[in-house]
Amino acid sequence: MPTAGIDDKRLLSAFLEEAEELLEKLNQALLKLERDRTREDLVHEIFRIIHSLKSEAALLEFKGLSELAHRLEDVLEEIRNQRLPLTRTLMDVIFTASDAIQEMVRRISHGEKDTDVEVSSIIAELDTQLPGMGESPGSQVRVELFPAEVHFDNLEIVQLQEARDRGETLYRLTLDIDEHAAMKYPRAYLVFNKLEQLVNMVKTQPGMVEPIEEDAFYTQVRFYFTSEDDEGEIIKACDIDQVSSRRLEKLEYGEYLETELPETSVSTAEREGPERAPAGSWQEKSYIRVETSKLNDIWRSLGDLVICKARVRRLFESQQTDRAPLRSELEAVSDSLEKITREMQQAMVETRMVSVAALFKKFPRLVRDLSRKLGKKVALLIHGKETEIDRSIIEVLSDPLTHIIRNALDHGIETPAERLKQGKEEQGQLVLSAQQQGGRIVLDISDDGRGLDIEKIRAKADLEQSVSDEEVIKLIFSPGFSTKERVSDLSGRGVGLDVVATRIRNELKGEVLVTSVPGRGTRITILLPLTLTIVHALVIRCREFYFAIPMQDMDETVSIPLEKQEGIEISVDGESLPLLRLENLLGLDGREEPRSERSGIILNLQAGRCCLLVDELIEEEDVVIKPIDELLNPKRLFSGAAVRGDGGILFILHSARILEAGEGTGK
Amino acid sequence: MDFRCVSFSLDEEQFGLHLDDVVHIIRFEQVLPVPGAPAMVEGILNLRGEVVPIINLRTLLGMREAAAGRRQRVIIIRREARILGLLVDSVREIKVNEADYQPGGGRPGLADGAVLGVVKTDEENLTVLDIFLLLAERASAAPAAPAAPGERR
Repeated sequence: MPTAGIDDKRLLSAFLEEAEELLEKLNQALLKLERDRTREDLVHEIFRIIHSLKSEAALLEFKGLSELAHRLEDVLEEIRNQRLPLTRTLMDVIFTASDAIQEMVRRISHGEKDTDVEVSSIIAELDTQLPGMGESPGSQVRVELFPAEVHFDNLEIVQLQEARDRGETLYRLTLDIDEHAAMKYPRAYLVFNKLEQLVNMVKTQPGMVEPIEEDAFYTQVRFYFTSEDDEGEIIKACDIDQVSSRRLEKLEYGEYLETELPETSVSTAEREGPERAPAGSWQEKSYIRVETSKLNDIWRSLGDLVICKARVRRLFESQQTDRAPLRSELEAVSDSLEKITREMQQAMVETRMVSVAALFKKFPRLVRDLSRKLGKKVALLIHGKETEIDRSIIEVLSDPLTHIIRNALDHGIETPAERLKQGKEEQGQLVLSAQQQGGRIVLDISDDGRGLDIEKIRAKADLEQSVSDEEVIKLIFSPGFSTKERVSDLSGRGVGLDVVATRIRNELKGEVLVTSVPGRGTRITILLPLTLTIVHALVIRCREFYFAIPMQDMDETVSIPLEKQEGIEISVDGESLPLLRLENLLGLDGREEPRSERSGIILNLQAGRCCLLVDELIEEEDVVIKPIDELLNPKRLFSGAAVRGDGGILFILHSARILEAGEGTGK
Repeated sequence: MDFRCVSFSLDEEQFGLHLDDVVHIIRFEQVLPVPGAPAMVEGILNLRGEVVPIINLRTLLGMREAAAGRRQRVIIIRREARILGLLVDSVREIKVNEADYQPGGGRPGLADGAVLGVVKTDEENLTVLDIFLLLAERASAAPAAPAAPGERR
């Protein structure tokens, strides 16, 4: 075992890092192999991973780990050389072994011994695989993890009604999976997958498809389904190892379809009244997979928080006994609270981050299919797919990006013949890139096609020659452009991009820019905030309302003397900026006493700069952004609301829209 | 569909909301006014970290204002991502499987879909509303013009 020497420590952490990466690859490869056991490439990959793990473990003298990896390697070697068929049972054994390896690595990372993991039975099983096949499951009585009552949501109720009408029987199947088996989810999924082909699945607990829980949740899995009576087949479907017991029960539809009243009455019209979860909440919640280390960070911070809470309590009590707390103690508590919150915030933000690879992965196929359909040749280049971005942003981005890419292929990139005539490569190029720049994510979609036909847009939109090209291009992205009748015969040149831009602006607080050179191509840039959940903002007051303005949108704040508060422009540091008054933009009533000085906020956005007049600057604050209902935002000048420490609410201003709205009033 | 609703009153008129939509009923307390919001929006409320618009149902239904009463309640309703609070005079009861329930029907001034059904008996006349649909229809009938460049006065 490595001692605590500094080199050993470094060696150990390098090993753990490497092992973690290998294990992740191993898991992915195993899952893929499970789906298609004929894939030799995966067997090779798994073999290589196990081999690396074995060598590294041996180097650091982790005997238990290297021994198990060694045995597994032997088995894989046989499979690789096709001397051993990769049966389902064998697959399960490999899963079990790799779980044990994972557990060993986990122990090592906690400073425990890998040899504490009991693997003799696994090794024995691996060994029996070499000549022949072994037998498995034993049965034991298990506790029910899920309540007997189940709540079906509306969709599921309909499913049940239909099944009843078809004369099918409603079943509940409960599987217990050996809690020591890791890879419980894949096992449960295996059964789920088989059942899906046999029966009409209504509900699973926990979720099997999208809302996937931590593996540890799958020690018991419950399936609700309807089927014609073929119980034999159903039982056969759950015949996999490590399932310690299974129970198949027939249920009465009547229990679920008749008067299905909520468990708690809403009639108690009190704020403290019993809280009823929104209908079907269990299913509608979405789940995310989070790296354990990130959760550990949060967990650690939470521990600190609990300690901090105790300190506050002590302070409070010491005050009751008339021993006034030391100012310094108060300060210390306040400092550590701040540190803890910051750490937790950071960790929480990280758990929400996913790489854009998930978003980009569908585009190669889209480009391939679409270019074939259109008879075009297009190469798709993807850069920066490892860039991380908030999960909720990814979800909204998918449609707009698809639209932009379609547009580029449809109207941007020319046919091979046309390209050759233009002296271009026969194959067009579409580049999709993502990168983080400061506090933003920049997505670029550029093609080397024919570019936007600015003159045509100008003509169709009845614009004069004096309107600059940039203004014309901007028009494509302005709301309602594509729906205006007079431009509808533009046959899709840029059509629909306004919808895209609107979504990005409204839902993602992002910005869309486009540059285009005739004959050379079009480039669309999407600027997005890193996260939609927390923003560092300046709280300001205007009349009797409080608002927050994201700090990232502003350059500075300035004092505006009385004589400069009128007019539509103001000169700041030698630059003339549009002067906007927040009360006018929002239509706030009430007069503020004219003051000798008002505060001006210099907003700096991609689209330009302006000076926004407000009544008072309050403080900087990290605010948690909450979405707001469209009813509250008819002018779309808010990007959300924030709940403050004291429970109060303020609106967060959408700076880009403020600037945009101001352009209309000024000129 | 079976019939389950929370009934409430505005003036002498009885209304209902489908129980599936109702999450909570709270006392009406102070709300924060919202600058620039339509008249029906009474304000917003922080309900366990969620920002909930409180809608004055009288304004939405075109009824006259009433003095704030002691029994005023806010019914919190939710459908999909949308959560709203409805300010009503008082909440009456939960009704289940009313024999006289008739799906469909209408009420002057309301689009057909906005009324889920009615209960008509000698004693009462109750209209079950679909607020979400009602709001969606209002929104599409009078689109809140997004402030496009150059479109503001």
